Amino acid sequence: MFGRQKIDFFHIRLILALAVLSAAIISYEIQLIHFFTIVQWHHFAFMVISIAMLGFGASGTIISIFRKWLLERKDTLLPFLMISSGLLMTVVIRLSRSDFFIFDSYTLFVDRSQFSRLLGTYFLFFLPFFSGALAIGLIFVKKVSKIGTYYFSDLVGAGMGGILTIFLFWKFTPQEIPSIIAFLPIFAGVVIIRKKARLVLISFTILCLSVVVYQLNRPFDLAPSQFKGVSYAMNLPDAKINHEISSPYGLLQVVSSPVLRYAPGLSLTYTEVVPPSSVIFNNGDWYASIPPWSKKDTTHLLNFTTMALPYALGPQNSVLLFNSGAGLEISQALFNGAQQITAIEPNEIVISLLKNDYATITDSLFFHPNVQVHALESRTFLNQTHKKYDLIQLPLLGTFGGTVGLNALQEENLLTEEAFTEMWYKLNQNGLIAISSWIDYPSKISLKNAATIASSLESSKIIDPLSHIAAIRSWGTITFIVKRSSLNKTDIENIKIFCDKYNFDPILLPEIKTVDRVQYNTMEDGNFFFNLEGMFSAQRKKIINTYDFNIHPATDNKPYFYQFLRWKKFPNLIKSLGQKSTAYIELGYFIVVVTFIQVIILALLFIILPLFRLGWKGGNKTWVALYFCALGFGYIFLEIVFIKYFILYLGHPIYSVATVISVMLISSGLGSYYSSRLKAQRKTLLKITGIIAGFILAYSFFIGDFLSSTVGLNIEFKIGISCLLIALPAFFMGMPFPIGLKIVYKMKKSNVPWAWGINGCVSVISTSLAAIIALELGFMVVMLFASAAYTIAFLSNYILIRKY
Amino acid sequence: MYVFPLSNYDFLNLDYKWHFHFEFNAYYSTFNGVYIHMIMNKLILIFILITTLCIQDDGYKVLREKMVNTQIIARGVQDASTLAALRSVPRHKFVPKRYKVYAYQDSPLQIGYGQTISQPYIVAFMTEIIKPQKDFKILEIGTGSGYQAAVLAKIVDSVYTIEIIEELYINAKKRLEDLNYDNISVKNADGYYGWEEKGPFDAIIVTAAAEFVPPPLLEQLKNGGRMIIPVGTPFTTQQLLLVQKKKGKIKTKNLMFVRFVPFTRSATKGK
Repeated sequence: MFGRQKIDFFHIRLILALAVLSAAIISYEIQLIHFFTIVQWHHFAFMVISIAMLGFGASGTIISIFRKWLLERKDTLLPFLMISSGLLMTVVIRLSRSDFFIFDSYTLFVDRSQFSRLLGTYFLFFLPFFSGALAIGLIFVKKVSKIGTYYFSDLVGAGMGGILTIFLFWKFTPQEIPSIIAFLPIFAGVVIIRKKARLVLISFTILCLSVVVYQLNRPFDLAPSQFKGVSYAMNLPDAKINHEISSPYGLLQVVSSPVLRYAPGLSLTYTEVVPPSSVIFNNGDWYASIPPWSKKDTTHLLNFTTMALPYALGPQNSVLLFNSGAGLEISQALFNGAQQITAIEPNEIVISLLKNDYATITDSLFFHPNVQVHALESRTFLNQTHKKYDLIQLPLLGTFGGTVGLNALQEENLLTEEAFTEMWYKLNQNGLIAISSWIDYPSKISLKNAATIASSLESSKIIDPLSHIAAIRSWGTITFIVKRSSLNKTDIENIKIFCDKYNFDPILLPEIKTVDRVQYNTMEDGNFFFNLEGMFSAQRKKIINTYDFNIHPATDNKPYFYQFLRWKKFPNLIKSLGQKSTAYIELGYFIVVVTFIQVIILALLFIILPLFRLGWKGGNKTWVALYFCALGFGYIFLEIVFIKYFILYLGHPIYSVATVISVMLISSGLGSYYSSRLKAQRKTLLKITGIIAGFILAYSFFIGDFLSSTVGLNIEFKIGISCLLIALPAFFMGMPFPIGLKIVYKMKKSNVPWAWGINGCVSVISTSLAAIIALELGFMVVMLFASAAYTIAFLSNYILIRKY
Repeated sequence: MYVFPLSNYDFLNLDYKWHFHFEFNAYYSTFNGVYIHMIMNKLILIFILITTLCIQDDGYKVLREKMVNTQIIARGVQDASTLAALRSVPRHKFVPKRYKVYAYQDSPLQIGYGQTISQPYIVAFMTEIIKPQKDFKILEIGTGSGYQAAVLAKIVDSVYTIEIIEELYINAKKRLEDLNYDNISVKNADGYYGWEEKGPFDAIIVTAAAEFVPPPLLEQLKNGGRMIIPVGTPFTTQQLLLVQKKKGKIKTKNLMFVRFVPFTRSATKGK
């Protein structure tokens, strides 16, 4: 037991250990996302880690069932669990790379043997979280009377863990990070070792430390799936990795091979040699091709693609390029005589590479006096700039040969109706917006592009949109241009000449004939042209509503451009494509739903199982379940929406996320600490949950407009505003959990671990659920759901027995 | 307790130009996802294989015949020479030993290095679409296992095939020599440049997906010639492109939605 003389001292040590352990768990979770994104795809990180995080729910279940036994041994168990968590963090990741466990997510839906490996992977990564969560749960259960302080420590530790991870990503390799993190729980465990079993625990610590040090010196295999882009590149003759940089932006690798060439959708009239170029891979996926430069260059490769269409209409002096990557489009703009090129690239590592190591190869492209490169989110720049441009060019969209739905969950703030409208007003009198995509079949991207353009022009009160638009296609790509003024005869003539020269076909052009559309390239999709034109007619809504895929324009509220799945049409897809194929058609969304179902089943199991031990009645279980579920949903829903909003607002994704998480958790931690002064009673809960629900409800309606109106301010102001907006509700949101737990303790102390488990399970469920709600209904609705969750928490207090 | 929101991975993953890999498979016309049907098929397949162990070649012949009837003719391939070639080429000798039992299944199979032997229907479709004639000289880019070249060699006079990955080239060359395909020439080189000294060709089949059609291949295609090329990144192909050269003009046709689902029995790392 905790002796009187040592209580204070041990209390401080325990608080410290808890904070360090929480930091390690969050840090480990984030690095796992990083790890899975490199070796597989981040969707599978979502799936595996969701299950692993249920370790928190499972810990509640175990403590509920074996409460007495565990508490009797807590002095030994607490350090043991913390140290074990550290050991497991480093060991399981290596084990997951062994032949026995390694799975390939790509073949998951076609090879059933992969499922047993996936289950094994679930189990492996479940262990460190379970071990750590069991320790945290035991502390909470034992220290309910001081839960405000311990919860504060947990939240602040978690907040610091987020910041720590960003530091680790800059300083260490993906193989080193798990072992570095593993030191933290071991340290936490050592801090709270007491006399009892000291020898055994110290011996165990030494053993664990030896394993961690060994792991640090013997990095595990980080080979990505053989189906990832970098694996293909490395199979090519004389392929080598010239640079490898690990950072919060991902694992960036620059691969060169004499046979690695990039010429997207090159015209069949091109007769020169396509020169080899180095390729930048981020997390094993193609990111950008570094444009090679030579004094002998007489032409630019991209001038032989549909992407050169804007330049066919005349010189473009001021050019704005979004997501400019390694600068291929910059070099094209320069080649075509642009005088002022503004390039926006959010990955600062890529910019740094091009400015340093690859400056010579690219003829110092990023230092050219006509070029300005900004490391920023493209949409944030668009919101901030007051300049007007002759040409605004978006990057080539879609996976070559068509998207497979893997980007379904990726917010594309640049491809929304509102973004197009903003671009429209940033154009000079004769300015152009150019957007190109790979041709996909069944057509999704090109039709959604058309729908977005049409919708945006409609909101800008353009009466005759087709007079402003031209679209052309090659064998592989489609390019749309939207002109601020109407296309004149010269423009139309220039487009036709350009198409003839390069074997392209105009597909949208004033007064075009059907035969002109298929002069060089024909396609099997007979309805494509009808649907394309229909986007600019009164038929648009009807076509969109009846199409097999979701081609509704993306909006700022639902910026999921690549989400094409329509559940209504899903049975049709299965019928025509087959079960296996359908899974691959819209893989991203499919995985979220699969994850959600898995998590729900397991969570229910973890929540219900303790009831066989605790009994179904007693201790106001209905309230406990309702209240702690509501808190879990509310907190995570709001946090996810905050992250989405503030990435766009602040413009730097990594630092925006760090700001949101740290400010939110630390504020909640302070709220939790402050809650120690409040009386643990129904009245207090009613007040606090009421305030939170009101706050979030108000935010739902005003935050979007408020952020839009202040997005042009200096970054310092914006950070200040962000902190304030996040901290206010977050402070209050830190209170309901510790106060609620105290009330549970007063009612029936054996229900405390159950409540803790419920909260843990629901936090994981709400992550998948928030993604699904955002995809289907938008961010604002997620926020309304957060408010509704706290309202339920508020209302649930009315079924709480009045004496509490 | 606090759980980091998992949907928030995007701050670590800035893959705006995400590339994911598919390949081709024409399941959509006959494969209706009837799971029981699949299990039955597997059981029948295994049964047939076991009962024909003693008369192996005849057993495979039965499987080939079934493959041609149910997977190829049923999907509309009619060219007699193509069907005859598929009936005679021992596909099971072109797949890794561990996949022999699946050689005649309606799916592609891994051959290592992220590469595959195409689904039988795709091989048939690509062969038929170039309208091969006896006196044709055909260039294939992407030898892989050598199966497509072997099918072509049954129909035309000479087949030239290029493989960029040395290990695959060595294996394919040996395999084709062992099987006495003496009208096939194999080269380990970059397919981008084609095989200029052997050109021009009546037809070109590109079995490795590309993001562009290499200009040298167009040059080496005879006037009136046909080229079939899967367009897409190496494992994400979703359409086959037919390129035709007529009187110096080049025309293309996006032929079909195709998809490649690799059938595997074990995870392999890099190979």
